[in-house]
Amino acid sequence: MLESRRHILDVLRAGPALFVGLPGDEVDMDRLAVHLAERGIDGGIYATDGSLEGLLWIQQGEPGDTWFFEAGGQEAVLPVATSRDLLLDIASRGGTISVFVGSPSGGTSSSLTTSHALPRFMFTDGPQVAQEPRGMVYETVGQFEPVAAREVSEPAPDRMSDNLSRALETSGVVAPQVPNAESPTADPDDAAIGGEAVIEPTPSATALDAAGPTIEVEPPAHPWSEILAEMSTRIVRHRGPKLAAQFSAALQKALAEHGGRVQGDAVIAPPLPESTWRVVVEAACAPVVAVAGRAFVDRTIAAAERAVLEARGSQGADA
Amino acid sequence: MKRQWPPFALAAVLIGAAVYAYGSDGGTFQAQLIRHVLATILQIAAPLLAGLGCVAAMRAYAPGDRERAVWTFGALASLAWTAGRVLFAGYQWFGGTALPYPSLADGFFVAFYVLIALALALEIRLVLPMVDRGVRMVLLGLGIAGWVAGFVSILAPIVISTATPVEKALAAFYPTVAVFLVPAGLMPAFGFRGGISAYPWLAVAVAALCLAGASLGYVFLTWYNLYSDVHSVNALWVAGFVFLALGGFWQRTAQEEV
Repeated sequence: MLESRRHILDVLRAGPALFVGLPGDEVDMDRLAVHLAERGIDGGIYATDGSLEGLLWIQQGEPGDTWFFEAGGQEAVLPVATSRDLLLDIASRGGTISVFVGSPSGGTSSSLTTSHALPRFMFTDGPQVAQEPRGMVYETVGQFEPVAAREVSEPAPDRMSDNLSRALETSGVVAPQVPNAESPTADPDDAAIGGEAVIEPTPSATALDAAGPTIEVEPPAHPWSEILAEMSTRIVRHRGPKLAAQFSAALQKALAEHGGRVQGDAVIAPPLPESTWRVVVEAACAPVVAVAGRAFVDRTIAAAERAVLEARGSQGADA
Repeated sequence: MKRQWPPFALAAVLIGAAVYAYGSDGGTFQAQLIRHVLATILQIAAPLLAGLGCVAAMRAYAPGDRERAVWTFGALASLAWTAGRVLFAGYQWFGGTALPYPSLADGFFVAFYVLIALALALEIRLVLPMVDRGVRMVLLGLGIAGWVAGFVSILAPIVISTATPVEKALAAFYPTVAVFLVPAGLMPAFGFRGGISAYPWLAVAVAALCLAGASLGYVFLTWYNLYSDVHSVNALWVAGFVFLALGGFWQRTAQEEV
């Protein structure tokens, strides 16, 4: 039985955490994401302001899906794009930030895997520690699977760094500048939390960094080619052919940068990672966002995806 | 469509009430009194409904969306007109002034036109690249032609008369802005032509047409002391705001049905 995302979130929140409940305005989200990614920590950055909950997954060094929930309720339909902005918005509205360890595929604690020894997060600044009554500092998460269980086939730190940098940059989750991962304590500005936390990796974590996990191109989480084609149809129907032409032109331009193209009603593209697709989608939607707004675009993406999946389902049923 | 019926039903009630208040004539004293009360209520309820329509449309957008600002200004404009009408009715019913013109209420009416013009200007800025140059020229020509016709036939005598500067300024301001709101409302309709989003803007353009007619009629009637709050020209105000409300509610529906 498939577990709901709410359930997965609840399980994740009940599991190990790097820290819990730091004031959102004191957390530099970009640097936190970079830090987690650099260390290959699988987990989620969780933000809540009491009315909305957001969760950005970090999977094998790359930002993954972002889930949003009504506070305590089920998932809110807020697909792609602006996920980082919304997360930041939640944090900035007096919300709190937590980092939990786990993966979206694992609904139970036994499936939560991470480095066998997480870096120790030390909050050196007095007031920040004092403001962390609910915070937890984990030196190790001994009861979970060691990182050796994960494939480490390409010890190429430079390449990892490049891939990571590109992936984070293009996904819009972090700022382009990725600090050097070799010695996190060497640079006090490397602190992810409010610019004041100092991170001391354990020897095993350092060894992990040196080995460098394989960063593979993540498969797209959505059938973007079909979604974009469906979106074009919906934009014509809703806003007329003029705006749809602007959408198609922007899509064509964005796809061309990655070896794809628009041919008639079809969107043709080589296999692209999810993060690249998101960049393409964002660029294609820019003219529509400018006129019809972000909410409309997000709803259109969601509706187009539903239509695509329903069409696939009915085709499967026919077959 | 479940959520849409209450505003549309309300609009239908307003139209029905307007037909009674402005369509019938004579009758007993009680009937006359009812018509006056109804006319006063209508002139307040119609812009209030328009404001609700604009708020509904506004809520279909995310914070920061540009069209959200358009409908926000639309809502503020409608609320300004509502406040002006409340003040106008206050002068009439409690201030002992049969025709409070010009009065403080005109400040709110001017604010309405400024805000609604601002809203349409914001929308035009968004859709201008999608409107052919020829269409733009035709719309501008229509606006100028309408204004010239209104000026020559109605406004010129007032402007060259011995009326006070405030009266002259208001007489020129209302119809001038209202006439140019018609092509301004049509511009987005042309920009989104072929899509369902064009229709709410057509409703806005029709609203502007009604308001322009009402403004010219109001200026003409007040100048010749023919205005009454149950005069049939007032139906144009109600119609204008009902169309504006329909535009707002329609836009909300269109935005959510992707």
